[in-house]
Amino acid sequence: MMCQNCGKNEVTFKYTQVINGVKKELNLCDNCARELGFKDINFNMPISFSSFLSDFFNDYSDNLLPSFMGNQAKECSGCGTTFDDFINSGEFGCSECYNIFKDRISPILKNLQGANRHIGRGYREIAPSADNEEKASKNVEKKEKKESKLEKLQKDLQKAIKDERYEDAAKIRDEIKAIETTKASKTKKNENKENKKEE
Amino acid sequence: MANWYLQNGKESDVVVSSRVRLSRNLNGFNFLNRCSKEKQEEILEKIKEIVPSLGYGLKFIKLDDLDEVTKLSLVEKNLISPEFTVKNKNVKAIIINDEENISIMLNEDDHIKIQVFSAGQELDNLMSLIVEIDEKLGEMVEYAYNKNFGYLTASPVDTGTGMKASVIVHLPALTLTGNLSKVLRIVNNFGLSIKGVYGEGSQNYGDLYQISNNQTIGITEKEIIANVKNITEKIIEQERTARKYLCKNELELRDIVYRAFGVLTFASKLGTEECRKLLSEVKIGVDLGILNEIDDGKVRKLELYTKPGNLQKYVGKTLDGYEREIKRAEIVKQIVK
Repeated sequence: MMCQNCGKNEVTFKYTQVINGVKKELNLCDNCARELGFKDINFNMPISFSSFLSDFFNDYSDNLLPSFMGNQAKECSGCGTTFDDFINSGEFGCSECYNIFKDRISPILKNLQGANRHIGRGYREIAPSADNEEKASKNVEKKEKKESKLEKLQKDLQKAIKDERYEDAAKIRDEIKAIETTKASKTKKNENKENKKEE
Repeated sequence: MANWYLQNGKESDVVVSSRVRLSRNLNGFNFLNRCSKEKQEEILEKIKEIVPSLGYGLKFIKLDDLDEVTKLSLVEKNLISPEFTVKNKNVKAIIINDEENISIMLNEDDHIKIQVFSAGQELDNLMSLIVEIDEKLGEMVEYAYNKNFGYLTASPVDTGTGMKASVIVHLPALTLTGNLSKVLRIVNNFGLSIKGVYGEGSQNYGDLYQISNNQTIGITEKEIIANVKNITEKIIEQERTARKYLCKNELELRDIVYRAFGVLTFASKLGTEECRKLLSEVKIGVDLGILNEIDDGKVRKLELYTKPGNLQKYVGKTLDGYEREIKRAEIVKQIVK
């Protein structure tokens, strides 16, 4: 059989397509198959997740709220990634991207994962002791941190008891007590600071 | 003691193995898609220095220093991803111990991917272990972290906890009784993913499936583990029910099992996929006490050493496809004996 396209060469490539019940067969030679873009298909290639994502984000970018469109051209100051780059690759360039594109990442995460706020384990929860002046202004934030730390300790305690590590459990219990007492009496603020350093 | 992939853990009649992974990136370095070769080298150097103080008998090995067969054998043991061995090999490394229950990939999708493994269903213990490692490592290097988005990763699908927990389950009875698609649907409804370890659907030789979490943000590590664990328990229950059902017609089942065992032990050459399929049938026979010629320890050994890379490791030389088929049949006979 000769190639349907050029009619010159022997058929080496067959391709059948059934769309809405209409069967279409292509019988092509090597050259024509390549020209028509069939030979580049690698049948074993798994769908790359990032390219899949980029399709998803592409659909997404058209429907973004107008308020998000304004900074489309904005570049990440850390690595130079633009939001378009992200849409094409499905990957961010650096951790700064998460700050720069914060407003646009949140809705994407919400759609992608159903949530956009980290509630898992914190990292280095106890911030290195800042200057005293700064501390006053960060009081509110600190309170939050302390509470989440308390939660963490309580979880650790449960775990320690469950694992029968009673020595650790005792230590954690003391830590929890320390935090709770400092919370009760603000006058002991300084002592707490020391505790925090030790931890 | 034998490494985890040769052991039988909890619920080993259904759960083959468990794994927990954490994706981490270093603060101050671009993610890998924007990271120069030099910077990637720097990351490797930086982490190489601290490996001795991490403990666990971990060793730093550059991927380039491993031969192809060794790399393949690591992929087959699930210790590194297949993609990891393909591109930019010269700036990749693994940190691994002799027990091979800890394997950290450097410069895979993210700078650091910590992985811990165990036979059977051991997600709780694995989580304790990985948190311990993560805390140690996080002390020595600084991670990219953001209060809002948690641990930052190149792709938003891993951001947050950066945690993926998974188990590999053997579901031959659900497959044989035609109930597998129901199970797949249920798992998906619970927001977890399930996929064939060796391909999808009817192409999945070996009846092995991997269940893992999709969500990594807005969920705690404990919840992730609990979700995967709960669903796994349900699947174990279903698989065991299906097995009991199969046992009602013991003759039919015995026939399947012993036919597989017969071909496996008497063939003069065995293909990879054929072997996987036969082993799956033999395994269900062993797990149900129908086949007593070998124990489950030997089944694990057979599973490992009939894979192309580990087979060549076992023999100690590289073999082409045809030679492997012959050697595979020989190895099976040796192990079964």
